[in-house]
Amino acid sequence: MSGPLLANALVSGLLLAGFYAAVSVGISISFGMLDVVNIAHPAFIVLGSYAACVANASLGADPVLSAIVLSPAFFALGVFLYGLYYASFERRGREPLRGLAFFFGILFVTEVALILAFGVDYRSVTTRYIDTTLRFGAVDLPLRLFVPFAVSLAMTLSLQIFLSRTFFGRAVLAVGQDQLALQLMGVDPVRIKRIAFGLSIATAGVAGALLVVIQPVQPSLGREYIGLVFAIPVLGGMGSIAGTLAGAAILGIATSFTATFFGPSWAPAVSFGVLLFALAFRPSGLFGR
Amino acid sequence: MRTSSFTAIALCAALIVAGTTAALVKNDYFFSASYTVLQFVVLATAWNLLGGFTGYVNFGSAAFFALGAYSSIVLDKLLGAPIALSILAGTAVAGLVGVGMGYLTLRLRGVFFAIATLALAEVLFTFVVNWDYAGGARGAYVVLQGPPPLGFRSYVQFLFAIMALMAAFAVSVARFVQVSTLGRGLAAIRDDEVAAECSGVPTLRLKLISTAASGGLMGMAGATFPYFLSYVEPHGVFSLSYAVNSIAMPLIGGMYDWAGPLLGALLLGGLQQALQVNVSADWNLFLVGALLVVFVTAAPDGIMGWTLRRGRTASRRPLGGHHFKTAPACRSMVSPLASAPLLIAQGVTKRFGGFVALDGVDLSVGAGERVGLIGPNGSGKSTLVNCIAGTLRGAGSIRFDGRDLASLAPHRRIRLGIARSFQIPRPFASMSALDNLRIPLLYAARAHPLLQRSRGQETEEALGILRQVGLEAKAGHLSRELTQVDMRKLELARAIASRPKLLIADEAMAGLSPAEVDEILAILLEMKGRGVAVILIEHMMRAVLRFSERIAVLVAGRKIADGPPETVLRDPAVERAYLGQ
Repeated sequence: MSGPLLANALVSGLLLAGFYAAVSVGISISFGMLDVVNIAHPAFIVLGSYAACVANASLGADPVLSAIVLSPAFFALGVFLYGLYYASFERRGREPLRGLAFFFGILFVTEVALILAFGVDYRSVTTRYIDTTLRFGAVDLPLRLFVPFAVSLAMTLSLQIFLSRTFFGRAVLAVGQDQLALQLMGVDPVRIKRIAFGLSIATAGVAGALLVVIQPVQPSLGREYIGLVFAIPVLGGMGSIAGTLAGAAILGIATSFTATFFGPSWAPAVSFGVLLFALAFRPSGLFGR
Repeated sequence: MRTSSFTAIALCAALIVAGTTAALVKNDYFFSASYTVLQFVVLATAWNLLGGFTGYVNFGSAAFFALGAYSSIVLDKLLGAPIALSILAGTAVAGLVGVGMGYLTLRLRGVFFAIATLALAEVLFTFVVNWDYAGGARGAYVVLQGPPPLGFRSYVQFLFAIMALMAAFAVSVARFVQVSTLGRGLAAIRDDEVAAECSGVPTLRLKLISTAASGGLMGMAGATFPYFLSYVEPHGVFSLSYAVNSIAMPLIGGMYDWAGPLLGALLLGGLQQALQVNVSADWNLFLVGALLVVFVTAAPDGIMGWTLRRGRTASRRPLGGHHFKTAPACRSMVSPLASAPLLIAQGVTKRFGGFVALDGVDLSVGAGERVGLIGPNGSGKSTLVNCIAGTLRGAGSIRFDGRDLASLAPHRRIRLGIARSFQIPRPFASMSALDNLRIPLLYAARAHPLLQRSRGQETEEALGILRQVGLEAKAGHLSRELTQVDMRKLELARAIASRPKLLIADEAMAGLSPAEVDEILAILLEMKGRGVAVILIEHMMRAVLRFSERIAVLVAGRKIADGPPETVLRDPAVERAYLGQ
């Protein structure tokens, strides 16, 4: 095992971890804080990738910039979806498993809709930085990975500040713990959850743009990320942004090392394997209470 | 209809249909389409054994299907094995992995279990992609050689006949499970796993049976798939569309009945085949997803749900014409060890993290004794109940009727004669009041074989107990529709139905009106006449004093007094705990 190989694996693992934080922070909000098991989250990420592709192909727009411009649309989609979910399941007190089946259906419908619209071929974007790689000695720093890393960290940290410093953010943290208490304080928990769910889908839109910067996408790519997006919040102890970053770091490095030393075809098993073990042996997460 | 005759008829019907169509229809496309629909009948029925009957959602149907398919591929490569052997092997392998998945339910419930099944599918997928012997990512060929067996004109016809038999078999299994003791136990698990365990249902064993049967049937359906397509690649057999279809079909047909998945698979499967020919493969997948979303939001009980709901209102008329027998004498009337206390708890200690909920509590209860257990909120009363019933494990020793309870699961304890009612009623919500009582009657009062059709011999007994608690007029009502006081009565009735020697009533009267309290007290006092010891946990002193021969007082996890009511009430320590200094 050579030094440079190890160093490169570590660096690309950390870069990957930054991207992983972006794809899973939305689940930390919806699953960890709101108790809504949005298994369709990865499908919305891929939807975000396609939105960035379309903007890039037709207007030549930068994927990251276009994602930020488009994020209100994703936010609105999330608000609508939560409204539907609330009216059909939460308000009627139906068991959460039906809600899960609902999102499973949404995942599938989104995926097939993308196939119908764009076909099953891989799509990618063109930007100036995508093929640039900076070198520091033996260590490569591909911008293709570094840009998503930086954008993701910025997004995750601003979410953390927003949630911990603002009244609304604290209300989101509170809604996961005691909805009734929140109601007695004069806050409408459904409104809070609707907006927070909108935020989580908006992060999926941005994460999708980051994904297409890293690799070409096809409609069913989202499935590979289901394990990842749930493993990270579960590892991180659910509903904590700091825990999400830590979970993302673990999985990013583990995936990168697996790909380097065992071959990339084994990499998808890492996140799902970690998820299985985390669920079976430590469901409260590494950093859970 | 008896299960054996149903199975025989189903299998014969499958054979006749397969034979006639083989003779009449010349177009092989017909058989290939029908094969696919029948394959979905098997998958949907198998999924429903776990998802609909037991309440555990499996997103990994494709993994079990693929296990069957890859068993066939490997056996074909290794031995050139005949198709019958491949089917058996596929069923066995998928069934074994199903058992493994069953053990996951020990730690994971609800959504976590569902996500874990998805993870399981993805991990298996990665292994298969990297498994060069079985073709890896490129896939593998299985070529059937020679003329089709048994006089079939083509292999597609032959495989269609096999799939028809497998579908008939799967549906028969589902129907049998539904009407058997096993099926009632599974339904109890689906409604409330803790309450099921406390009604004598061996939940782990039943869940393992359910996951193994569900996984095995899926593997069986997958085993013939390589022969059907001649070529299998990982993306095809692990396709998410198997998972979505096997969830959507029972949801659309109705999950609480064996016929639901069958109906859903025939409708949705048939529609998909029609769309695939006339429109496109992608549109038919879109339709499945869309129908799943529409049905789960708008008609969660599926098509069968509408018919069942109509049937239930019809059956709610009063159950007249029954001769109510008083419940048979309890098996505990006189214990040979009458001199020794029935329950001896010594040094029971339970910690939750740093918080000591119970700190070395001793409690003994004699046969037929009535003990009141009182103490302020948070003093550890319910924790003690949970330790005795086995839903919590603590330190210390608990002996019951001469046996050490340490290693016994709750369902074993209730079979020994320890029944408890829950502080917050936990009825089996999808069942009628009468069916709620059937669970302990089948599983706790005596040991019924699991694989026996539940013939309703316990109906008389259940009606007797309902009459004893004054609920006979509501025998047919859904338990979740009962009033608060009736739910408390049902909770007691369900405990009584296990024929206990010791009944622990955990705040059975909290929040009830004085008249309702008297009704519940009367039920408990009647237990004395049957020789059943009772521990009454209660805040209402009037009720405790009327009821108890002896009172024990818990404060902050310690027992501070134990004795006849008049002594205990005059104890200065008790006065301090209740009234302050």
